[in-house]
Amino acid sequence: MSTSSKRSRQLRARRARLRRRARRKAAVAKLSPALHALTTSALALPGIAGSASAATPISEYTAEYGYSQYREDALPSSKVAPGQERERYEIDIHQLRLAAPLGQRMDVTLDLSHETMSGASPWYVDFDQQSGRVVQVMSGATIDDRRTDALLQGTYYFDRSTAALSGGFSIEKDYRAFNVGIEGTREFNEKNTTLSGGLGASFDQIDPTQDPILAPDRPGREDKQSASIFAGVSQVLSRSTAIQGTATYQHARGFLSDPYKRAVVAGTPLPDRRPDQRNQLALLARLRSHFEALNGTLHADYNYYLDDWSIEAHTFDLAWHQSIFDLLRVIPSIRYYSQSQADFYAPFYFAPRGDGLRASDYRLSPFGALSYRIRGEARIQLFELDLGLNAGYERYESDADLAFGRVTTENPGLVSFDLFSIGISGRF
Amino acid sequence: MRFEQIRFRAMGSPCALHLYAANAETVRSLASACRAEIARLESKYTRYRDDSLTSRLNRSAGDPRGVRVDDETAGLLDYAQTAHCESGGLFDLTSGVLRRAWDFRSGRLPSRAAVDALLERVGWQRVRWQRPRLVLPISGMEVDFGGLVKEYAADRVAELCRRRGARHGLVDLGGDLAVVGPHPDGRPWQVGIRDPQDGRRALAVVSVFRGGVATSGDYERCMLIDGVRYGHLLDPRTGWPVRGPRSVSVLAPHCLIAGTTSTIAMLSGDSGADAWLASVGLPHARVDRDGALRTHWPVSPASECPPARVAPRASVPSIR
Repeated sequence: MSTSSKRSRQLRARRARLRRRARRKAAVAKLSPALHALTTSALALPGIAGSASAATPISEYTAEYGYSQYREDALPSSKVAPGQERERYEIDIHQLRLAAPLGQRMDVTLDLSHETMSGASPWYVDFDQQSGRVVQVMSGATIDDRRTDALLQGTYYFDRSTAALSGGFSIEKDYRAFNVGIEGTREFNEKNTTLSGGLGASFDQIDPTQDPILAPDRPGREDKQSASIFAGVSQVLSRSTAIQGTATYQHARGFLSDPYKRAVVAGTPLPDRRPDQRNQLALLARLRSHFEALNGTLHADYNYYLDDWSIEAHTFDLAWHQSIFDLLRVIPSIRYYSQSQADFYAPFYFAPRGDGLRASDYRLSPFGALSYRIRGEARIQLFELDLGLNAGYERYESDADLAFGRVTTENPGLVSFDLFSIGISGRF
Repeated sequence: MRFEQIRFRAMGSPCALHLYAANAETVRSLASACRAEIARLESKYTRYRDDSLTSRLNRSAGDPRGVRVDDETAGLLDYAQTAHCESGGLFDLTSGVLRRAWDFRSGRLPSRAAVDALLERVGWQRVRWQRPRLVLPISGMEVDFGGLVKEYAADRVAELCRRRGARHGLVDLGGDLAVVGPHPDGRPWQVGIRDPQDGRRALAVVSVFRGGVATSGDYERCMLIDGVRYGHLLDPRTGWPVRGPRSVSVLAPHCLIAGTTSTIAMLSGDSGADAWLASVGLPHARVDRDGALRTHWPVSPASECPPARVAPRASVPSIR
């Protein structure tokens, strides 16, 4: 074969490859293949194109795998009943996400996660006569469990709108949940304003592991249902700043207690019992601001939460996304959280409440929390593969002293944990 | 609203910024930012300065380690590679060395041997480009960003104006045009297609709402030998001038794309230009060697370039 015909064959092959890629990238626009290819390359250049752009389906196949290690701190001996297990929960989490374009206007995403949990968890709170302290009694036996979650979402992209449908399930030895959701977005005002909204529903069934010796009064199979609705608006304020506001309302009914927890009433630990309805409202405000001179983006979020169990909570989240040579991103962040207690919550009860409710779960207690996170992300181009690597660490500490108001009795079961995560992703 | 025209020379050409702004102070600061950006790109990519990146790349020819380039240059190299592929090898960043054989002022044709010797050092396919490293494996090879940078600069400057809040204006870098935005009353910019015989006369005027316009032609540098016109556009595959249209102007979503499309049209020759332009499907005007003008340029406002749609760039905070 002559060199020139070999060369032209190579050129043709390379051209076909680039065109395929360009076609994938500019799937929505009706441009000629040559113009696709040139436009795609030109728009990858810095500082050429404006940024407001319609939502488009993903154009490449994406696979992401992540592994996280969640480790709760052992409780200090001053906070547990004498002779008690102090080690707490450990969870290992494997997550897999697969995303693929489906035709020119659709994409699908599948999220799978598998968790293995082990360790002891808070059972009930008691008053230790000897030390005069409020102490945590832990579940004696080590719990071993696995959870598998799957969520499939398909999104269809219209010219200025998107519509998505999702369905998923979650399975544990003693728990099954099935959920469905629908959501949509619509762009206005030259794509600078986006309205979004959605509905979701979840059907859960719990079938607690029975323990005839320690907890003969543990409930049998129970159900719960919940429905949620959300609406949001995001607004691009300038080329570097965008804000978003979202309101979410959720209604849950059915068995909302924790079958494995108890609360001490007049010296006797009785099964946890909570209302059979809960209405929750969450208002979220987000700010994203890019600082070109620093090549970094500020993410500032505030979340307000209120429910009819009288829990009111505030979350402030600040993160800085620093790009380094477009290869590496470093994201330090800090989050502060504070909540008030549920009206029926008490660490323990001297006498039964008139409504028969009781719960000493630390999650319903008044507390505040601080968490510090650092995350690094790198991108590497390996032949045709766009490879991403990430690693992160989070330290979370909760304490009654961190809460907004004054807390008389801190729940001894408040959790502090370390979370390590690593991940790898590929686009091809 | 104030309208100002700022004229200056840059990149070897007369340039102009036509800008609308609230007051003279805004125009001045905008213009100085634009000129600083043009100067930055010129000093980075010129081949007339030893300290430019282009000179550094060219000095590395023959060194198998090559040079690691920054993101902007990598973007331009990726773009050039795409253009090379799309044009079947006509658009070639390495074709500049052929100029050594062709002295358009001398009025003499180079020897075939001289051209063939230079051809050994020409061809993007000989280059090893693996982001972020560029290797020019053959000593004496050169890359020349001259066919890209003026157009790219026009796009960058127009975008810079928009980022600084300007909504109406036109950037003209030696005939490579990028629209900041139409006139404040919504009218398009009227752009003249130059008469290749007489640079001051417009053969036609076309309306441009947005995007960029670029013109390639052989009226700038050429020689006439025995009645044959040898233009400055050299086919990188043969090393000889291409006999094609006298000029081609293209309207595209970006000036860079317009420039590449018109250059490839010129290099495609008389026979290939129309097929190439038709395959790209952008509005264009072609002036043939007999001076005849043919336009495929819808004149109604509906002729607005299709806005390019791609996924948002990473720099922009998007909230979902």
